Amino acid sequence: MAESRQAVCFLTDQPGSQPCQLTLGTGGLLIEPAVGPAVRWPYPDLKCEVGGEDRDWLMASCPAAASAIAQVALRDPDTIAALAACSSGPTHDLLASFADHHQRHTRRSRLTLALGGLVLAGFFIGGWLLLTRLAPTIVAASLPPASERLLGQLAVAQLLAGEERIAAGPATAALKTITERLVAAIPANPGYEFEVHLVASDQVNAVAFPGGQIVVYSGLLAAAGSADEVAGVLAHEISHVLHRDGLRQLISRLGGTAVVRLALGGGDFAGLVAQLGELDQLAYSREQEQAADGAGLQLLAAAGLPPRALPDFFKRLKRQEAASLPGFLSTHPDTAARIAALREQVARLPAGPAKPLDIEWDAVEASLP
Amino acid sequence: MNNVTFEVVEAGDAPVVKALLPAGQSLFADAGAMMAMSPNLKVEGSLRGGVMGALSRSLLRGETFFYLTISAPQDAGEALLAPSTIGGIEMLELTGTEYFLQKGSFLAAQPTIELTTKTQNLTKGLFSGEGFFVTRVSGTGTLVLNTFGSLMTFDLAPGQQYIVDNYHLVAWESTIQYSITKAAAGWISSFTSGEGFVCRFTGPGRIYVQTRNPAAFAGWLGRHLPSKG
Repeated sequence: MAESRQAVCFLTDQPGSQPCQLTLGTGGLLIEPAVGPAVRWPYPDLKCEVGGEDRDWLMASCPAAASAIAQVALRDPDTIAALAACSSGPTHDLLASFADHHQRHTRRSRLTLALGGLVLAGFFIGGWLLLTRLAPTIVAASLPPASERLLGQLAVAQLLAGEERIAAGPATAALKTITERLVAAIPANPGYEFEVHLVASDQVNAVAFPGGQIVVYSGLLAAAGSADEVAGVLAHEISHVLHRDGLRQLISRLGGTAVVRLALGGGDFAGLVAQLGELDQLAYSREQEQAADGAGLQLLAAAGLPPRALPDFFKRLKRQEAASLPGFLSTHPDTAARIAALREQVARLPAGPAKPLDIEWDAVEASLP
Repeated sequence: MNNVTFEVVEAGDAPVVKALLPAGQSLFADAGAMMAMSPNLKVEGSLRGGVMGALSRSLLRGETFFYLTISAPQDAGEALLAPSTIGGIEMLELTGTEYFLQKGSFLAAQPTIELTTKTQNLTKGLFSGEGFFVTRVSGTGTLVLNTFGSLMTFDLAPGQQYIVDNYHLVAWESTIQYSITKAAAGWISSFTSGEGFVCRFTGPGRIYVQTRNPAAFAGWLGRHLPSKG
């Protein structure tokens, strides 16, 4: 007696599916639904196709016989193999290759999913790059220097609140002289007005804000060996302003819309200004630092000051404090490598006429707190 | 043989299901679904399908990591199970066929029912509203579903087609093929009509559809919540 096998039937006059038993008899396929009369479909009259969401069901019907069963769904591999052995022609071919259909379908689904995943990942990475890299540059480029100056002034006011400033004396005068010399040598100033503020603090640091505001801590002057070394640091900071690095950091931090609204005098003023004060803690990217180094050296040379003063100062600092490096030096790129790169660039710079600064450095040092 | 029986009680907008467990029998349910039960029944969390199965369930399908298993080790008892949403409860008797379930539709089942994860293809993953992973339910026994709103069934004859809004979909038999299509002939109309993408099903097989759209309800609720401030 032929073995009875499990399948699912769809009846013509009843909704839904119901279980049924299949028997592969000699005269054809015997189908016995749980409810209703049994039918027998002759093998040559069977119409088979691959069906189901995963193409893993064999859907069999018998259009020639007007039976109460519309379609039988089965997927047991043994039953399908046994049915293939009983059939011939295209039906046999389909049944014999049934497993391949499902495998092909699964492979194709996985492949498109993987490709789609890659496209999606590319889309998100592209979007991220656009937002973090391109957007700040675009917004920065569209703000006029006057708006940048306003932002810088707000940030400096926030930073200097509660700090002791040194508004007059030999140190302030020296910074003014150095800044004027450097600013005069800027090849194409788009309208930045530079202003240096000196703060009484042990910190060895200098910070550039959008629009030309630069804050120098007296600790930096105490650490420097000469006015030329301070000029090196200021040339580096002026280059950050000219490259709009601070503005781009600000846009990344606050978002472009907030910066534009702030520059135009709208928005949550107090909240945004509070965040501006943290700007000195923002680290510039390695590329921004390298670009400011290179441009700073050129500015020094154009101003008739010795470019080697910048790597010399870095070297001095590195010797003085191995533990913590000031913000403008950052920890990246690696200071030793940075000094080496700077010296290499200094060696390549054409030697121009030297115009020494007229500053009594001893008097400056003596005036520091 | 599992003889746990389920019965919908407190029929109305917020029904619950009462499960009768003969001695020595058990059921599993969505974690947190137990509302009340006989004191002799034992409750425990179970992974079902091992750690990987539980991980795929919770990470891929957004369902609970653990299932709740309720058993009657000594004497028979009863447990009341409640879904988290307001809506219908439906019992499915699985006999050799299998279904795909949307997220959050599973309430309880006899332990002879298997729940596994099926990966959808790219288009369906992105636009069906079901995500890239759906639950495949197979085995023999009773499966209890919960829906948002009431439940309607559509039985499709071989080759018959029907269109269902993706967010109204609850479950569909695996003998059905479906594709994602635009709701209207044009792209603009598809979106201005508020329907966007819809699922086009081709029979044979059964589709379960819920009469309320959870996403639309969330949107409605959002408009009525007081704003911060």
